[in-house]
Amino acid sequence: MLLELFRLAVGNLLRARGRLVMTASGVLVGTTAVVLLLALTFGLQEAAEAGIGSAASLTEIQVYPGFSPRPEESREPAMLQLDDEAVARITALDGVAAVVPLLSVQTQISLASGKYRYYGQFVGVPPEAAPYLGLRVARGTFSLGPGEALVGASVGSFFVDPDAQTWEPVEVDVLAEGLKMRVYSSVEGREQAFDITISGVLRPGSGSFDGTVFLPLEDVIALNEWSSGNRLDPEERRYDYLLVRATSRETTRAVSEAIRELGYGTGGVGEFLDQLNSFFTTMRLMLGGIGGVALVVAAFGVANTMMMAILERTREIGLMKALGARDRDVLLIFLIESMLVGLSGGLAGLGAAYALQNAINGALTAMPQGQGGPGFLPFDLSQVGNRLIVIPPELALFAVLLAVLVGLGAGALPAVRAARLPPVVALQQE
Amino acid sequence: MAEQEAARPIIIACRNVQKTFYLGERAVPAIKRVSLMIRAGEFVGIMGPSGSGKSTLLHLLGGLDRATGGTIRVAGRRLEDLSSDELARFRRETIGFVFQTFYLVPSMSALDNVALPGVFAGLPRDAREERAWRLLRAMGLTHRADHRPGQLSGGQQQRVAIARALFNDPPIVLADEPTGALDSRTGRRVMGLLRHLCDRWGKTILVVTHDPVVAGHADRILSLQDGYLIGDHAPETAEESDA
Repeated sequence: MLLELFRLAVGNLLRARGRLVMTASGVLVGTTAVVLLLALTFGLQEAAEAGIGSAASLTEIQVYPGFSPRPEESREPAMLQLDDEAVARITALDGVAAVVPLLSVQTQISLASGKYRYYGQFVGVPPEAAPYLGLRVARGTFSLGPGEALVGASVGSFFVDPDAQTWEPVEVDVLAEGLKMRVYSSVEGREQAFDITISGVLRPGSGSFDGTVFLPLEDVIALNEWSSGNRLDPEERRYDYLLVRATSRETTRAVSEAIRELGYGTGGVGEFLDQLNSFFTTMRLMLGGIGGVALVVAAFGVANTMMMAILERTREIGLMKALGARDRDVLLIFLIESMLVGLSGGLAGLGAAYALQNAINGALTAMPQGQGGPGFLPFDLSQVGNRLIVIPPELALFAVLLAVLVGLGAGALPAVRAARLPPVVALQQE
Repeated sequence: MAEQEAARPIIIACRNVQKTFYLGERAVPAIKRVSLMIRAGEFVGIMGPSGSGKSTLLHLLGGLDRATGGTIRVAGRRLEDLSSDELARFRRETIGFVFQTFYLVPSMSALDNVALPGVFAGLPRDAREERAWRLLRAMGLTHRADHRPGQLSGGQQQRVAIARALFNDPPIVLADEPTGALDSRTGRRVMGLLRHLCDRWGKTILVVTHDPVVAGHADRILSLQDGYLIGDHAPETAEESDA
C-alpha cells in the first residue's frame, strides 16, 4: 500500500519536472551551505588537533612534582616527589590506563658511530610500560631489553662530528651494528664506551620524543650509579616526570584534575581538547545556523510548491476520495511528495558539497606553499593532507536527513489541508 | 414483472433527508425532506432543473457528502453513522462514480486510470492490472490501454471512467450527467452501456440528467424541484411532462 502511494507520488512529481527541479534547487543550495560550512569547521578542527600532536597525545598527561595541598594534615615534606609511591597512587586512580615513569641519564652521554656522535635526551622507561608511551616503530622492532634502545625518528639524522669546525648533521643508519654508547663518569673523569643495540626507530610525529633515545629503566639506573659512584636507595629514586595514559579522550580531563587533587603538577594537551572542542561546537552552531537560514528559505519554497500543487490538484484529491482513498492515503501521498523534494534536493546538495570540497581542497594544494601550506592559514594544512574542507560520513548522513525533514516539515501543513478537503468540495472545484 | 421487482431487496432507503449549505450566515437548503427507496438492479434517472438539488442528492447517496438531517441507508449501512475512514471504505466497496467530465488523471494511461481504485483498496499491482485489463476489454478499449486520456475521444474517456467505476465491483453506480460532455450519438452509446450494466451485470444505476432523452433509458424517474422530490414515475410520463 505504502509502496503504491509512493509510486503515485513519484508519478505526480515527475508530472511537473520543472517545478520539482526549481523547488529541489532551493533545498540543494541550503544543504550545500550547511554541509560546506560544517565541513569547514571539521577541517579546521582536524588541522588544529593535528597541530596539537598525534592522537595518542590526546590521552596523555604529564605529571610533575608538586606541593602537597594539605601540608598541615601530613608530616611529610610539603614537596611531593615523583617516586614509586607516587606512581602507585596515580596508577590507582579511575580512568588511568598506565603510568610510565621517565628517568633521564644524569651525565654526559652520546651515541657513537665511528667519529660521529649523537647528543640528545637519553631517557629510561620500564620496558613493560613502554608500550603506553603511545609510540610505534617505523623500522625494527618495539623492544627494550637490557642493552637495547629505541630511538626517535630524527635521531639518525643528527649525528655530528664533534671535532669539526661546524657541526654539520650527518645521516647515520642507527640500526646498523657496531653502534656504541659513550658515557662520561665523574668518578673516573673520562668517557667509556658501552655496546648498545638499537632495536627500533620510532615513527616520526612522536611529538617531543622525536630526538629521544629510550633505554630500559634499569640500564639508566645502573648508568647513573656508575657515573656518580653512588648507590641510591630505590625509595630515594626521583623520576623526571611521569607520563600518564588515560583510558580515553573523554576521561583525560577528569584524570588530570584527580592528579592535581593529589598535589602534583600536570601538563599535556589532552585536557585542552575540551576547550578546543567546545570552541568548535560553538563555531559549528553559528556556521550551521547561517547555512540553516538557506534551508529555512528552501522550506518555504517547498511549502509554497505543495500549496500550489494542492490547489491545482484539488479535483484529483476529490476523485481519489470518491474512489475510496482515505484521508490518510491523501496525506501520505502529499507527505511523500514533499519528502522526495527534500530528499532529491538534499542528495543533489550533498553532491554539490562534495564537488566544492574537492575543488577547494584541490585549489589549496595547488597554491604556492608558504611554510608547509597556504600562508593565510594559521596552521599547517599539509599535516592533514591539505584538507580544509572535511565532510565526515555522519555529516553527509545528517545533511540528507535534515533535507528530508525540511521537506516533510514544509509539506506537513499542505498535506493535512489536502487530506481534510471534503470530497464533494474538492470534486466541484473548477 | 412487478412481482419480480418487489422481490428484489431495497438497496437505498432515504427518510426525510435534508441538506442545508451555509454561505456565511445564510442557510441555503438544497435537499428538503426527501424520502425514497430504490431496489437492487433498478435503473433510476434523477431529473430536475439546475439547482434543484439532484447532484447534491447523488453525492449524499454516494457518501461524498453528509446529510444535515434524516437517515440514509445504502447497502445495509447507515451513512450518518460512518466515520470518515468508514465512508471512504463504503465508497470504495459499494459505489462506482461516473462524472460529467470523466475526471481521468491526465498523466496516467487508460489502464492505470481504471486500476487507480485498486491502489486505495491495497490490491497488488499484478491483480490490479489484470482486472483493469478485463474491464477495458468489456468496454472494447484494449487497443487504447496505453493511451493517455488526452489521446482518447470523449466517448472513449467516459468508457474508461465507467470501467474505473466498476473496478471494485460495486453494486451501485452513480452517474452525474454522464452524457453532458458528449454529442448525442455518443451519449446514447454511453447510456446503452449503463443499461447493459444494469441488465447483464445486475448493477443498480442512478443517473442524474436534465435531458429527457437520456432519462428515457431509465426504468424510473425521480423528479426534483427546489430540493423537493416532486415525482416518481416511469420515463414516458417524465418525457411528456417535460415536453
